[in-house]
Amino acid sequence: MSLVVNFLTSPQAADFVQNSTCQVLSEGCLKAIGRPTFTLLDKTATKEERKYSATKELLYQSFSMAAFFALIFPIKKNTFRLLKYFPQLKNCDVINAKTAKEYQEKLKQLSDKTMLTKIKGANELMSIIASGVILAVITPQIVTRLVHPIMNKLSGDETENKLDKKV
Amino acid sequence: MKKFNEIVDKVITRLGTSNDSEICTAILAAFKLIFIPFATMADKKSSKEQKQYALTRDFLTEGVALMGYLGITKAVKNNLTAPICAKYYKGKALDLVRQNKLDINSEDFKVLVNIDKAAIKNHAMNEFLDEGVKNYTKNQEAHIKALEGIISKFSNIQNPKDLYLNTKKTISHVCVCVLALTLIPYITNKLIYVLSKVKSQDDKPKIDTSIPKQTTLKPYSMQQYIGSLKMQGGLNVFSR
Repeated sequence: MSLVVNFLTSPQAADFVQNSTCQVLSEGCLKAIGRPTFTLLDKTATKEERKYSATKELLYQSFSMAAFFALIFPIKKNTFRLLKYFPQLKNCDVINAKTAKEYQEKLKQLSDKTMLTKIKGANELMSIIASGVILAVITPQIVTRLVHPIMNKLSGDETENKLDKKV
Repeated sequence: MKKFNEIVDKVITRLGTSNDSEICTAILAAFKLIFIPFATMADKKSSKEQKQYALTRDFLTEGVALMGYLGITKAVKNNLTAPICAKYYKGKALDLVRQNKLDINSEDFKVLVNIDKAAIKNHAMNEFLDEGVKNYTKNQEAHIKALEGIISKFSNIQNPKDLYLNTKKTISHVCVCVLALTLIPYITNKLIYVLSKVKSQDDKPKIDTSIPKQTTLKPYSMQQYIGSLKMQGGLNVFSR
């Protein structure tokens, strides 16, 4: 019990889960395991329906995690360029930074805690919106095109295996 | 425009102060609730049944996820955080006793062991945001001051505000993970089962349960029946 309490109350764990990238990645990886498994366990649908839905789900979750992992870090590195569009941050000098290095330096020098919180929040907001576009708009379109070739390949392999066994 | 800016200001302040997992995951679930069924509908190669099942599943899963992340996570967070904080202080008090840094009969030990959970919650929320703040009484204020006094004597104990906020964030993430892995797909399966039962009842051929028309004719008696058979040629059962 003390181990669980120690984990739940630890500041390091809180810092780790505060990051939206970590939140999306951990949730997505668990979904990639849970959803296809439960889809296959669903007895109300036919085998074909379950197979299609589970393959689509697994493909979607794995592909979206890969796409997210590949795209989110470059996006996050450059979100400071969009800070100037937030009227709440107009009086802050940090928004005038032109490079990531300059931005980091200006951020370190910033003493106003409220402004620091708002900058952090604005970065998180942009990261969430970017995640939404990657995970909900781009990835499903690609997965829809990929699901049939992959399913055909899987079923083709299966029939080949069956034929091999018969021979 | 001014109202929009105010909302954005609130959102970025909230995300900057405490970016709980359920906010991000719920926003993403809302995105997916709209866009994933559209992508499934655009699939022209799958059969109608496959598409219908996947569409129902996508829609239900994201709907349940959205409600679960917002409802269940919030409830778990609100009810579990303060008791876990109390457990933390109790554990720390016992550790200090074991290390001979604190006397078991001292007032400090009693304060650490008997934590006022509502006081911790209200204290943390009081300066943070106006959510959850109910009655921050003078007793609770005194309790928190006593607690902070004890904490200042020992370096390895977190102050109540930080402890509450840290625990809240971690619980929120753990809850989101449990929901994503097991509870949401399980509830979706159950909902699909219920929907399939309802659908199968709708698809059953209807039985005509209307009352047959009543006639004024008297029913045939057995003697009349035998008599009519004799008239037609007799009961010749051996004729075959």
